[in-house]
Amino acid sequence: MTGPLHTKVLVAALVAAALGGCEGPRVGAQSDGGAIDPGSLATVSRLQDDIFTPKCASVSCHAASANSLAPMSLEPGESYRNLVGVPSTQVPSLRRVEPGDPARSYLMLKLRGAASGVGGAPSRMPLGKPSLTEEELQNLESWIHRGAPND
Amino acid sequence: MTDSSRAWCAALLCSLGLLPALALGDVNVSGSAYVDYLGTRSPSARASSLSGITPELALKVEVDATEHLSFSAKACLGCHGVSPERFHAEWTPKPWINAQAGRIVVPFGDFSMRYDPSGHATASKPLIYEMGRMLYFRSDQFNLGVVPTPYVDNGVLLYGQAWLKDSVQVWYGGYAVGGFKGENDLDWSSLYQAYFNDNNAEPSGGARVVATYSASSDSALLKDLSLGASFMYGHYNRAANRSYLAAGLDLSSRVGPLTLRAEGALRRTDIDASLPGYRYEIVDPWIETAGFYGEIQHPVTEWLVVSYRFDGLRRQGVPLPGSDARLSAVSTILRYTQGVQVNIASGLFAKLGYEYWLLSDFPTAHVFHLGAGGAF
Repeated sequence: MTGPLHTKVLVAALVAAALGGCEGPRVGAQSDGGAIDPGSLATVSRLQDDIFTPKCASVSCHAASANSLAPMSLEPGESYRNLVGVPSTQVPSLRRVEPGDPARSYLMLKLRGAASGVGGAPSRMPLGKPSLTEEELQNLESWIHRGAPND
Repeated sequence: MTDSSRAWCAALLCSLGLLPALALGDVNVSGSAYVDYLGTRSPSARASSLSGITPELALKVEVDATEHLSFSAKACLGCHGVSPERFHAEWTPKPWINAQAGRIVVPFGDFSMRYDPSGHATASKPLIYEMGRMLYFRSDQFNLGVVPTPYVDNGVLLYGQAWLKDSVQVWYGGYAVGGFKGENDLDWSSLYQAYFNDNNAEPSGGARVVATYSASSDSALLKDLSLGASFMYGHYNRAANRSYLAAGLDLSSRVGPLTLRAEGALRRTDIDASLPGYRYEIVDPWIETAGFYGEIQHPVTEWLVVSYRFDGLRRQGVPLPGSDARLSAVSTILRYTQGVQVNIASGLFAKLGYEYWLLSDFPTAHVFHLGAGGAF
């Protein structure tokens, strides 16, 4: 909220009063200044083996094959250069992977099914397959947050 | 075959099953179309909302096969693309016990019965029931309202109604459905992606009860006073070890020419505390989304309806890993809505709306709605 502190307090108080002061979950101290814990230490090599190759780079999807329906290959040796710093096809103002910023990486918006919120296609990736697990998504975000190194 | 193709094949097969019913029974076809423009001058709000034009088209076919058996199918075109929204059989042998089976509208709150744009006078839904057309709706922000509506799911609903004396009608219903989906907090997009199958082996369940008092005299000031309560519970992740619980109360009444409505709802959702990346230490491993609305609807003339609404939403609990950096552990929205519905002709209407958004973690915003639609 960009207004004064007392306005922020008033908003919270009014909502709390309307909800009868319902006790919500307790939260502890803020940790690490808001950064994603780098302890997950996912590397792009690991992500290639665990996610890109088995779940994305199939023959009919993000493969280098001429029959591929998708605009970019996520096969080994190609995924990094097709993702990091590359403007997305659907929303060119966003890069597929924005080093250091998972929230503005179009890859994550597609994987979380939130691309329609920025004007992209609503279809969630992987298309027609089970969604990535939360752990897999956070490993990707952790890698992006570290600057998306080519490790 | 893709999941979407499977869903359409299933719908087609069920439609073929309707053919005998079509030959024998009464067929009712209805539909609605609505186009809404959401505009805001706030760049931050625009980047975190489905601003611009959004269409909603719906076509519904109901077939009364016999006196007590009917089938209903509804297809929609909207934010989720083209989808078979509802598809169920309904058996109504007695007033006190009826059943729906298939893809049904889950009854939670009064608004679940009025979510169609032709069913409410405002251009937007109350925050507790909002699905996508609210500011900061994304999964890394508020992640929608308490029970984004319409909430349709696969399952069975048993319901009935009874009269207490001559003036109080009680509607009651209980259901078992597939339930919400997600892995760490609910994931709405997966609920609306074909093939619509459950992600775990555990059904979710809930109930709703509404008591309505109807004044016997047309001249009575207070007419049709309704009080309702709703509840649902289930496990939303694949391992079926993270639960959610939602509860709500609703009140509506007609006072003279005015229609008054108020609802409050709350959802508690377990989270996975073992994951890395939380910005706060976790004490209680769950988050709570709660809110309310109060609304007055005033038919000024035969063709002009004015609405005034005040609503709020609060998300409380640790922001999930990867969340918008602005989201705090207690994030709130207060909103004032002024709406006007102009009934142009029978079945045709236009809506205008202004909303003032006061948020604790995001910039204040002024939002405008302009919409037009119709129902047949």
